[in-house]
Amino acid sequence: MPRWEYLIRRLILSVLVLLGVTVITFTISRVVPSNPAALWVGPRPTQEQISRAREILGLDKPLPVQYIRYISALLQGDFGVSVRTHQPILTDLRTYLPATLELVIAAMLIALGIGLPLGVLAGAYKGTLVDAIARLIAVACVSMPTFWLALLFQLIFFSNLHWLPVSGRLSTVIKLTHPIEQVTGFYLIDSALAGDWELFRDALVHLILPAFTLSTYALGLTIRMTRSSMVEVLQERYITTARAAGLPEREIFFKFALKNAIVPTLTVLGLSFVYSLTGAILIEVIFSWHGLGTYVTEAVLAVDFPVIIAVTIIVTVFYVFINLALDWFQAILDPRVTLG
Amino acid sequence: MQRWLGDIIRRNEARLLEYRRMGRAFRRDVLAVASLIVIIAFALGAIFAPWLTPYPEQGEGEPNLSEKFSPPSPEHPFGTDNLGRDVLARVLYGGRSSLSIGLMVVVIAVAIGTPLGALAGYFGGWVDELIMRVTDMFLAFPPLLLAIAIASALGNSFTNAMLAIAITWWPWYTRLVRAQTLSLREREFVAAARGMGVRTPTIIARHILPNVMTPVLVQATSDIGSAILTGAAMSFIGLGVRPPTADWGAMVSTGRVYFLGQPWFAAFPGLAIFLVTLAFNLLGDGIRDVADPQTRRSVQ
Amino acid sequence: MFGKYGRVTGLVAMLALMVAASIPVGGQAAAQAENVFVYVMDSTIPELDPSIDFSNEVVVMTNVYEPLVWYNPPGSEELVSPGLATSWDVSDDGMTWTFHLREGVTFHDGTPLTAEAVKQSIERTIEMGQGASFIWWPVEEINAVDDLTVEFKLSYPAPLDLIASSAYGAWIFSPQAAENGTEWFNEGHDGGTGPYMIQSRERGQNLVLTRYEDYWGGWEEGQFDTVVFLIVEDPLVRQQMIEAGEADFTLRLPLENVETLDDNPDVNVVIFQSYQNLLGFFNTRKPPLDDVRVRQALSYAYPYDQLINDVMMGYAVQAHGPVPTGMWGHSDDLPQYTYDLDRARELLAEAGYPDGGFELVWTYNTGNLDEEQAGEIYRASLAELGIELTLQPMTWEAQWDWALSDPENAQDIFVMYWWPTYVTPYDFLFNMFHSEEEPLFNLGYYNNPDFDELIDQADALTGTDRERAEELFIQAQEMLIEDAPALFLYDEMNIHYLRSDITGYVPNPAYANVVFVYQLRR
Repeated sequence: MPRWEYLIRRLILSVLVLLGVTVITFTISRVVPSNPAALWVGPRPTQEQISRAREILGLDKPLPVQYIRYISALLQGDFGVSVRTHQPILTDLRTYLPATLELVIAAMLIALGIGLPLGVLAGAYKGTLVDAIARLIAVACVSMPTFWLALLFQLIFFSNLHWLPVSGRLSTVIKLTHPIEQVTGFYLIDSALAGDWELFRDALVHLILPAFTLSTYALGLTIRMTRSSMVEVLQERYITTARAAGLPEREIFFKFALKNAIVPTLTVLGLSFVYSLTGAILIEVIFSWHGLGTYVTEAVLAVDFPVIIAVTIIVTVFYVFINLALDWFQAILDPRVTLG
Repeated sequence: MQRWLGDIIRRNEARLLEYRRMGRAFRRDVLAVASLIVIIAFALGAIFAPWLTPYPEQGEGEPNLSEKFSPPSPEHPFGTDNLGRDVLARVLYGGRSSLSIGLMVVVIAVAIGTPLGALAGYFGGWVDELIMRVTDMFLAFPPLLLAIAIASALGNSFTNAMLAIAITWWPWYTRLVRAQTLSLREREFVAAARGMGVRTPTIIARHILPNVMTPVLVQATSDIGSAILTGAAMSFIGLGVRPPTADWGAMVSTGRVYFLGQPWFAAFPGLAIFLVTLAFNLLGDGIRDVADPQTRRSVQ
Repeated sequence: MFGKYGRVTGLVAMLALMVAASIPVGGQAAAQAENVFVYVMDSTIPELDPSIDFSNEVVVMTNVYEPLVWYNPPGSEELVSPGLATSWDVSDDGMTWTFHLREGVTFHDGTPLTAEAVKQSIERTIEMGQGASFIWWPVEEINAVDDLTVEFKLSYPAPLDLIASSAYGAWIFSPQAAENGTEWFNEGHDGGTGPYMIQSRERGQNLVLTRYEDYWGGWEEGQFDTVVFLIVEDPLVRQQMIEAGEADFTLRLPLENVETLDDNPDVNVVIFQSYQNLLGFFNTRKPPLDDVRVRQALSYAYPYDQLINDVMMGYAVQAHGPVPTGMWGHSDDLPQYTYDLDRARELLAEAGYPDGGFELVWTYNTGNLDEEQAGEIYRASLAELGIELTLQPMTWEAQWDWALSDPENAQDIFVMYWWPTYVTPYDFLFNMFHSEEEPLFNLGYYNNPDFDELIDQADALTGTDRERAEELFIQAQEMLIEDAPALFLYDEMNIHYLRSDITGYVPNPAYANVVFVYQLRR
């Protein structure tokens, strides 16, 4: 199938998938026992306030009408308003999404930075002690309850060693004395752009524990995937030939083997990225990291459905497009893969 | 399951030999055997919990406030919790809900995913298209979020938490089985059966499903670990078993509040989650190594 | 165990390398140097519009806005004291109230406080009809008699001095500022007269106040320049922050750690009676709880001492009816149910349930550990009477929705906290036990016309004859306790944690968890 045709087909399907997701979440949101009108009013609503809020929120209309209203607003880029805080969700997302992305990207970089070399070593020295240790680390990482690991990290690095801060994105004083200009919403990038290195260091120090905690799952997968693709690639005929031709091992590893092993690793990393967007929920709560995770947790506990739907859609969009990009990327890098 | 295994054995002697060979290979894998032992130990601990602990009533939830937050001691090796209950007893009882949630999620997911995958793969065309698009949709959902949404919609209970996770899980099996079925469909014995006029449901039941079961089982074994982890994450948020039923995730969640002063309360159930998940993952790897001829070749 | 585990993952070593130079945690001493007061709270500050705010924004609003009248801390001679009004009087029929305003007060936008501004503030709150605007229901008309005199005409007698001291809906703000609208307030602006102004706000994260130099009370050496409110959900983190000096004030830490913190010379633990209590409504419309004897039996079956001493660690007292300890309208002479299983068995037998044999559902807020533990010990006790109690955690929304949908099929026991909007027993008695056509907060569906009449009468007298009103309120509670429409569990104590170098803190339960930073020194 020609590439552009494939791309269009996939795009159309993606839009359908997204629509389906909105229908499902919207339906769930209306089945759940809750009282959005009362939530809208506040902690001690009166009957009059509730019935007025029902009109404001359009809850007196039939379900399909409500859905169409919602979807047409969404198409204009309007996620609606949080029932709990009355704040436009789009405004909230502008601060929360970059916070989560900063955390997740840092975690992916850690996973790649540690996982790739470990995986390569394990694959290259298959069957040795190094391999055994790397595999054990990998499987331990994917088996780790992150919320528990987060607690252990806090206990060790904050309570016992006093090395790292326990929560938040910045320390109080820094936050007050170093006003940050929001450009990207990534504190590390924004502070670097402003040349404010004290702020940068503070943001970095706060990022370490949550990012390491979040990275475990991706790290496990990366080690595993890199190792197995290394093993596979090293068995290929061209490697054997290269070896027979007397090329140095180092060159074989880095020039041929690693180049081919990196494609599946990136695929796994891409998928872990999406997984981590929701995996960050628990970690953000434990580390008081104000991102999508804490945002949606508060929404879930208050049954604030416009927020839950919005976050679901955002994460789904990431999933769909990262998948698409990965397929595309794979096809470009690896001619053996056919599209379709 | 047992009847199904017996059926296979009776019908296919060659396969029996293969299983024996796999069994021998498996026994050589120290880690996998150790994992199996760990899993069996936890399972036995959960099943025989009332006889293994001197405090069965505490394991079931009865408060014992006079011994609130005792640190680990010979009487309470894991200490006691916020209501004075023996944490070891709670961990043993907690295995009941945590292990069964893992197992049931996978069973339900396999039960939904496998037939759908077989249908999609075998028939192709619009059936395939329809099933796979629905599958795509469920795959695209952020899994934990969907599970949370469903659990809060259905109300908080063990069954609902289990269903919620299973609903996010089945698409993986549909994909796996579909891919397997696609290749099986073209194999000679299936074509032969079709040629002899065997009815389609019979072909799927007799020829397709038994042959996809090995990869499904391999996948399912590792998945039990991940399902336990997801279940624990749900209870950690507060969606899972109802108190006073013991549950590892819920124990970590409650124990988290006291983690600085009374770390044993959250530490031991957390360790249990980690060990069991680890064991299932290692077991899954072990089974994969002996069952999958391709990796086996690379191991030799 | 932790160390060994760390080695397995190999992460410890990696982290150790990255932070080898042991980067300081930061925060500590710096907060002191800057003359900043840091209040670390446990949940977000949703609403900054002074006509709408109705939850924990109160901790911010009390430092930024002022009402006409303040409600006094317990132990004061009078219930209320002057705020923006220096004096006030009420007509004999309790229908006309006149407030005389303080001179020389300016709003943060520089405009002066006038009677007209007061009128417009309260009228805006009433017209918007949101938040706690219902406190002004008795008001028919507000007149600016002269520049500094406001007159309220009521449609029925009501205690307007107490209403004006409300923690919600009673703020006086600059009418000019209010024209900017709700969104303007929520962007981090204010229109108050208080000692501090809102400087900035990051939603869900923090809010910063700065000194208003022209505050009518003036400024002295040593008062704080800046107040920071930080939102940290995790109690462990809050505890670590107060211990490390990153927080000057925090609250809601694990009760088990109170003693440890009390031993810490750097932390001052302040414990006092709050105006919040925990109740469990019995569903009075659904058998077997429609039988008063069963409700009484269940009230005798609650292990109150365990709840107070072991679950609440002694930081609560058993309730005497619905009006909390320490508030006016509460009486320690009111009877209490005590834990008495024999008496419970007798009553159950009289009602036709000698061996129990029924099941009850206890719904409570997901994640609320106190409500959960209160249920767990009750469950064990009821099991001895042959009654099975199911504990059902739910989100508040779902729990409430169930209770409102159909009383006959709703939960049997609905557990919740109550706190007053403004300090009057009527708030507790009316909202939770006055009959309702459609249930709202009377979640046990209690219906007793005699009780209704008694509390309505008491409320009408509150403004003019507070002593008589108090008698009637206490009489009404006696009626309630006899009818047992709810389990009256405990009156909570507040536990506040301050750095020990902070002086001048006077807790005031009328304004939940509020710290008047203006009164503090370091």
